[in-house]
Amino acid sequence: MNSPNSPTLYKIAAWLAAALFAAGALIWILSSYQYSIVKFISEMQFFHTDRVYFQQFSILPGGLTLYAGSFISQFFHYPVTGSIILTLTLLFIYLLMLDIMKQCGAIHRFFALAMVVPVTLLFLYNPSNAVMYYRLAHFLGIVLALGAFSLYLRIPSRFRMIGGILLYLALYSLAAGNALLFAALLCINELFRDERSWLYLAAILVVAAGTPLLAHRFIYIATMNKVWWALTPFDSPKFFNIIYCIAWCAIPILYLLWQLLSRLPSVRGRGEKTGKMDRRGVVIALVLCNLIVVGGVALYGIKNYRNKEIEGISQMAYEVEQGNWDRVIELGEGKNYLNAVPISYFTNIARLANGTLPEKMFTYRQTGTYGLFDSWAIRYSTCLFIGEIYYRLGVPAIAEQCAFEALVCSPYEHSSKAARRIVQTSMMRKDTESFEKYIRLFEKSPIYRKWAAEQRLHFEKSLQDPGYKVPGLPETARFDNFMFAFGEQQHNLISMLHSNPCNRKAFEYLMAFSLLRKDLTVFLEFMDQYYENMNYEKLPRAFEEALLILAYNDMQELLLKYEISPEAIARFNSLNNEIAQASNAVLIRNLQKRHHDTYWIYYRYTKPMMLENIPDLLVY
Amino acid sequence: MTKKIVYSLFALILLSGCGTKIDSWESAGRQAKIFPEYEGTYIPWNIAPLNFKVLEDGDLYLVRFVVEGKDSFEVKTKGKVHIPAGKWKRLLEKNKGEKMALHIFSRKENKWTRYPELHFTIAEDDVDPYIAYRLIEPGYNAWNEMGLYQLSLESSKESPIVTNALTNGTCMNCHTFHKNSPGSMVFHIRGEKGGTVLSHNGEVRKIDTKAPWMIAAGVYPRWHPGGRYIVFSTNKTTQGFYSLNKNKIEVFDHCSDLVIYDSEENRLFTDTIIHSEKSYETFPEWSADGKELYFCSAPAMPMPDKFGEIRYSLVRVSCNPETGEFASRADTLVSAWETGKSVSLPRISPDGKRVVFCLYDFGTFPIWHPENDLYELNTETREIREMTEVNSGHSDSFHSWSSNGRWLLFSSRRMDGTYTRPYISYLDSNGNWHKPFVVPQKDPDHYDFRMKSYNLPEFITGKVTATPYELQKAWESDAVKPES
Repeated sequence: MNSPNSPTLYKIAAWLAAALFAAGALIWILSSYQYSIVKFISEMQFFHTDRVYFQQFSILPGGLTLYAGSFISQFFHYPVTGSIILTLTLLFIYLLMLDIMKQCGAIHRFFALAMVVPVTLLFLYNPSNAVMYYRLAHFLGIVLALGAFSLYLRIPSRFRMIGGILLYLALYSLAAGNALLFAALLCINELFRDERSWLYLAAILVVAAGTPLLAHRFIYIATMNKVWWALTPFDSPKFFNIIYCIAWCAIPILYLLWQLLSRLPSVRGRGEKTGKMDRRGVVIALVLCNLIVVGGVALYGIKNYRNKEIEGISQMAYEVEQGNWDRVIELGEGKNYLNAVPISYFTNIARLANGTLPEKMFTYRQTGTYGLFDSWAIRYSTCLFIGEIYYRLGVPAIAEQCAFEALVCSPYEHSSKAARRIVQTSMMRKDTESFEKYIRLFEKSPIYRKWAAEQRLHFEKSLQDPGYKVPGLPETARFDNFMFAFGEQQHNLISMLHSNPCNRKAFEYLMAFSLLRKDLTVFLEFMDQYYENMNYEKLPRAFEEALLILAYNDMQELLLKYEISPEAIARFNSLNNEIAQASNAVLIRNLQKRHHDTYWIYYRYTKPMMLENIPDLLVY
Repeated sequence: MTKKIVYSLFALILLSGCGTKIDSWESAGRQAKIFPEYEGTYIPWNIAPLNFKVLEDGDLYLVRFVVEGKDSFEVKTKGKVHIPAGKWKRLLEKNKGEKMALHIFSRKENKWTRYPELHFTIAEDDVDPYIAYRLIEPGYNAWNEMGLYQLSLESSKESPIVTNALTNGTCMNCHTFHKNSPGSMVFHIRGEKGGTVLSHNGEVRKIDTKAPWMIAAGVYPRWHPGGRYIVFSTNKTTQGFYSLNKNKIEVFDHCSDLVIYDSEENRLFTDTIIHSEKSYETFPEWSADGKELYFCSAPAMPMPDKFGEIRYSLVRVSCNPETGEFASRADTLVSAWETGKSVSLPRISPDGKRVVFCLYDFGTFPIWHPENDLYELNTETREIREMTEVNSGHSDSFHSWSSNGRWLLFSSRRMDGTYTRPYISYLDSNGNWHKPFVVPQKDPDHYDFRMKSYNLPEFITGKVTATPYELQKAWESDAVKPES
């Protein structure tokens, strides 16, 4: 039995699929990408409305789309807005694919095929791919190519030649390599036309080949690869991403498939024009099949491409920057990630900042000195991470150096996050020139204008009143100038303490460093040298536990010297008894669990990751 | 004074007669603030419009460019003053040697304010039409996009000479030209496929300036006036970072020597006087006649332990590169023992009478030393003088002479303390230096928002003849190994 409404049913199903896709994509992005991708993209760029910023894009192939992409993705600063923008962009790609598909004939019955590209692109931003090169502009390039082709299909046949060439040229000037995508679609379309023109095909091929060559010669100073392939998967061999490549190449392949499908006898002649409709059973089966395909692909992606770990770490990094210490500690609690270093790294910073590091540092997992400092590497996130600890230790010059390195080596463009940090370190250093330099950029940034106005106000107040404390800004540590070395973190902390023996943060981090190295000789040396200056109300737990280890190794005088509590001695004795009685691995594991929050367990059983042994801390 | 009043009245008549009519105004008690600042500078008559912005409160500004009683035009603007290029060019060409006055009016709530005139002088000497420089972030270790660029001083148009987008992101540095000629250029590309690219006599090639007996490949190059020889320093350089950034970075050499490259015979050679283990030799420069080699020299000492103690003197040695003969003794021109300071970057005027150099407290690299200033040495009298008219509270360095010896181009951090900008200073026929002006750009906001430093600005007499793609091709090619 024929279903007279089958086209309408397919249309409803396609829209339903679009709505489901949009909802699913939005939830997916919000739950999996909010910090690791959306926020990350916004911080790796720095859109400002001045001419100089525009000019740096205008000289690049595809620069206008890159500029537009940067303009839009500045709103990724608000992750929900960013997630909606990403979702809408992908949805738009789906709708354009659907529109192109519909114009092939009755093949819109296979509407799931139109979803191949946006669904694939959704999984491009999988952080474990470690490819953060692709930006919103790459999606916009596809949108422009599909949009141009959709427009082309509406041009009356007799004007299609001039229209196609003009659209190609316009598209090339906007979105560079995506013009080739348009050219490929156009050629397929021409090949399947009844009144195809070989002359036109030849012309479009000549224009498609000639335009990049002429642009290379007369417009852009860029590699041949860039003038041909900018904003496509073949843009940069270094950042090649197979998912993006599949999505991009799938577009002409799908179009070819649709053209072929539309010529099948079972498809040809069906549809509203002919009045031949599918039977109800066929409609239901096809709609179900489509939905199953879409759902299956989505589930496969969710299962294979979700990386909660990187999202969690990114969220911690974000909260650290904001100085939300309780939130950082909360996020780090109970996380059993494969890469435990960033968790301990950020939690240690949070504990240092809120003054609970020596008391609580073994209540969460410690990974060694690598959890205190990252090893130096010229990489965006590494520079920022190292800078964070020096910022919190009150060493603005080093924090600024790290921020500047991050600003420069940000893979997209200058990083707004790094520039924000330079503003903050300039405020700490009361460096008016540097502050003015960077705050002006933020004043030209639609997203950061308000923030810049606030910072200016705070800075002016701090200049007028030396006692004024800028909210959220760490206190600048007092110490004499010394030559700083990223490879010698312990030496740096000692140098800080040497000229200011009351610097509690430097002391605590130095002590943590010695404890995590299990270097109790050095630990005791610093205790003897600096502990008295710190005026602790009571001996912090980590220090107490370390001193007990020393005391039980022929240094009993420490018990009195540092007023070690009887309760701690009792706990230590109890643990030692348990260790003595633990005759097998199960018992040892149990006692480790029971006493996991003590330095003793770390000292005896943990194999620490030492800073000097590991190349660098990687998130991306 | 009377003259001034007469000219002012004349200017006002002009304003009310053929320009915008302003019926009444209030006089401001001070000059208007503009950016960039041009008050009191000497400018070449072939310079591009000195566009600027008025930093005074107002919704409309009127700026009139007046050459005392002779000529004038006006620009009405809401903030940025974009000077019409044609009118500007005609005014400057017609009035060489004259003073130009800027009459600035601002309007706020329909009330006009007039500011006292700003002046600058149109010098009778022209300037080389192009400058070349490297654009790079003033960073510590990292770089990202960088390149060598050229800017037309007559039109403010910038174009790339070569960028690292063409060389897989490599570092490139130390570009130098033979007597300001755009056809003879040398620069280094570091890292992957690194080498020294030499564009000379219409040929572009890459050479490997690292001979087995050298500590490193060539670094700071200077062309011999004859064009055949290039002297390079060869340095083993590292840098340290201060925890309280007075100077931010300290660059120091663990050792350094000088070597000479013969571009005709493709040969590297040196002499014990410029290649000694007991001393560090760096920053070479040829005398104008090519018979003497100037360089900076310091006794060798362990680095980085003694980085705060090393001070370089300026010395010169007679030589004949054709025979490879060098005098056995060097003549000390600026002694570190006497000054207690360190010398870098000697640059000789085209007539050979002046050497401009950097002088600062200690070390080998002046760019992060705010106390660093430019000094000049009279090569005949050996008199040294600080160029107070030119210097600022920040580091002024990497200076270059124009081909007519009347203009000095240098990079300075004076604008914001971090990013170096190119400044030009005039040397008049009486030997007086004048207040420098920043190289003008089309957009007066340019320097505020460009996040790159202008490194090593050099005057050139035209556009670089080698194309970016020719230079890229040279980078891709195998380096020519010189004989040594």
